[in-house]
Amino acid sequence: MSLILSFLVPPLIGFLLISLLWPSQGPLRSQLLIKSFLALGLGLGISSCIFFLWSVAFYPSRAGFAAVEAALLIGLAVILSYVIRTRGGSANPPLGPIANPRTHWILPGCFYTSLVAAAIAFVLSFIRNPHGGWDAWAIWNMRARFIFRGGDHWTDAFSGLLSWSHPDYPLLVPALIARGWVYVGQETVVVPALVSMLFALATVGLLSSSVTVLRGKSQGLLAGLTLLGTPLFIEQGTSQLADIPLSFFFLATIALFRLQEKLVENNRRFLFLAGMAAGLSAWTKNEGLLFLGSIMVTHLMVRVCVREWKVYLRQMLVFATGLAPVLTIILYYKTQLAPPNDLLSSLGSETSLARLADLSRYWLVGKVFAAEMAQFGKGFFSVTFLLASYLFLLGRNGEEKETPDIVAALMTLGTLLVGYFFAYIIIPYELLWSLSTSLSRLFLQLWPSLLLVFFLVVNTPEQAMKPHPPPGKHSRA
Amino acid sequence: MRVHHLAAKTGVVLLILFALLSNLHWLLQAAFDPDFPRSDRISQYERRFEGLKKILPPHGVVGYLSHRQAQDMRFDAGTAEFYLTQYALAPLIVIYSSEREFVIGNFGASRVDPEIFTDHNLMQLRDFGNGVMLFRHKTP
Repeated sequence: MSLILSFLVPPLIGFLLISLLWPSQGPLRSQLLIKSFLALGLGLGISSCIFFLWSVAFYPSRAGFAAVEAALLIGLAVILSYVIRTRGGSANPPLGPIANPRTHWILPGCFYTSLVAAAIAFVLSFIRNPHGGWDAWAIWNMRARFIFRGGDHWTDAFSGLLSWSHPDYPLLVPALIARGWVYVGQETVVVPALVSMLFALATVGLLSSSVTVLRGKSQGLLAGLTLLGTPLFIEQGTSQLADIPLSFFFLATIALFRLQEKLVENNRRFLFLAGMAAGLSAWTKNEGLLFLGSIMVTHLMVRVCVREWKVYLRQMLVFATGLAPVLTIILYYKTQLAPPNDLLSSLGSETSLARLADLSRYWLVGKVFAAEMAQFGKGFFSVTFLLASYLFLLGRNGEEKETPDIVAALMTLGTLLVGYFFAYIIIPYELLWSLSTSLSRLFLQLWPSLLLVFFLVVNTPEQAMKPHPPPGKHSRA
Repeated sequence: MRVHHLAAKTGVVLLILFALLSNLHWLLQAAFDPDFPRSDRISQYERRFEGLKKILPPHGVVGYLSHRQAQDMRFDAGTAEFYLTQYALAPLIVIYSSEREFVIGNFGASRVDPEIFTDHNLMQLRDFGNGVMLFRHKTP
């Protein structure tokens, strides 16, 4: 019972917060799917932050933590009901899909079949390997044990003596796991597995529902189906690593920017949520800090190019408001608890400068990047080749291709790739081994966001099959 | 026009086929894994330390000694064992050194040559009978 409760509270907190901030003033159930999947991921992130703050303030006392979350839940519910009662007439019409023609039954049938297959794969993987993959038990779950078992010594988790386990890594996943154990009252391998599964579900759901809202139901189902058909996504999702939660927050940030641009004009509440999602990405893994910097810089570059820097400033003001609370927590953690990062510590040293000047490292990293891109995903055949063929066959959607936030999203993802590339150039470990053990996971972090951009840019099946497409709507890739 | 229609249909069918085949392939691999179902090795490994956990202090730093190298995680078979020991004993911090008051011996199933710990100036406190031992440093 307490296990169910521990996983029911975060999405409820997320849902109430999102409903409060949702720009459309339609009924609560409007856009229920996209709200629910955003609520699932953001709610888990918020609960992780609350648990961390609670640990800093009151550990070893565990009594009362559930009461804090319950109070937050009740508070949000009271505020929301007050807001709904005082809203009166609906100033904004409910947001709806851009195009939502009838979808052939085959598409939802295939999507749900894939979803069930993925769920079975999750269960099989959990039975075989309940402690998760190597990094799960050696980093994330081990840190959760330190927090849960450590009492007033819980900060031993960040000891420099554990440098092999990267004690500076952010705490979203370990704090969530420890929080679940606190609710249950004991350690159980079900909690980290559920955290992992819920983030994977939220990622598939958010990708599918956001593309549905922006481009129509069949496009949304195809996007979700492609992600479910990427075995690496399922494999990493079952491994209990932090890459899938990170990919969720990347996706949420980019989707919320797009929703803001496309659907709302008179307020910027989606950007508040985007700021929060970007902050939570940095609370998940250090790569999130690079993402945070990239998204702010690329939006600036794009807006300056189209001479809309005032729009950028207004956007960033709201974005920063959503970001600030999470960023404060990260800054506190990084400056007060976590030891220095091993990669950053080596920057500027003679060896890292020598690595930067070593052209053979660029050649090797470039070669492995290209090979990974070509065979990414562990699918039945190359998903990269498949998507290129799909774009060629269905054509590009003229409306979407040049909107500033799509360009900014592509530039953000490109900047992350460049950042990852240079991280490998200076990495203080054996290069080929580092590439072979981590590159596919880094690509996977970007994969749901890339699929979002892809399915926003490519024609929907309905557009591509129109008897008389208007000029400019069928430009081939 | 028919060409556009056919091309689009081909694209959608290819995408659906890809997703379903990849999914099925992955599921079959998982379901027909020859090792499946097997009891998970990490839980089994952790159980070896249950007796030790009861007598060690709840927190602090302990040393670690093994007959296997754990210097380089790429090649040393002992690395996983060392990390798993830390995973099992958290929140106690385990360091790969015999220069601590308490030192854990992790020798797997192999017969333990006493020289391996006497050379490190260690005194055996307890042998748990499963390759796990507890030593105390003679000169704290």
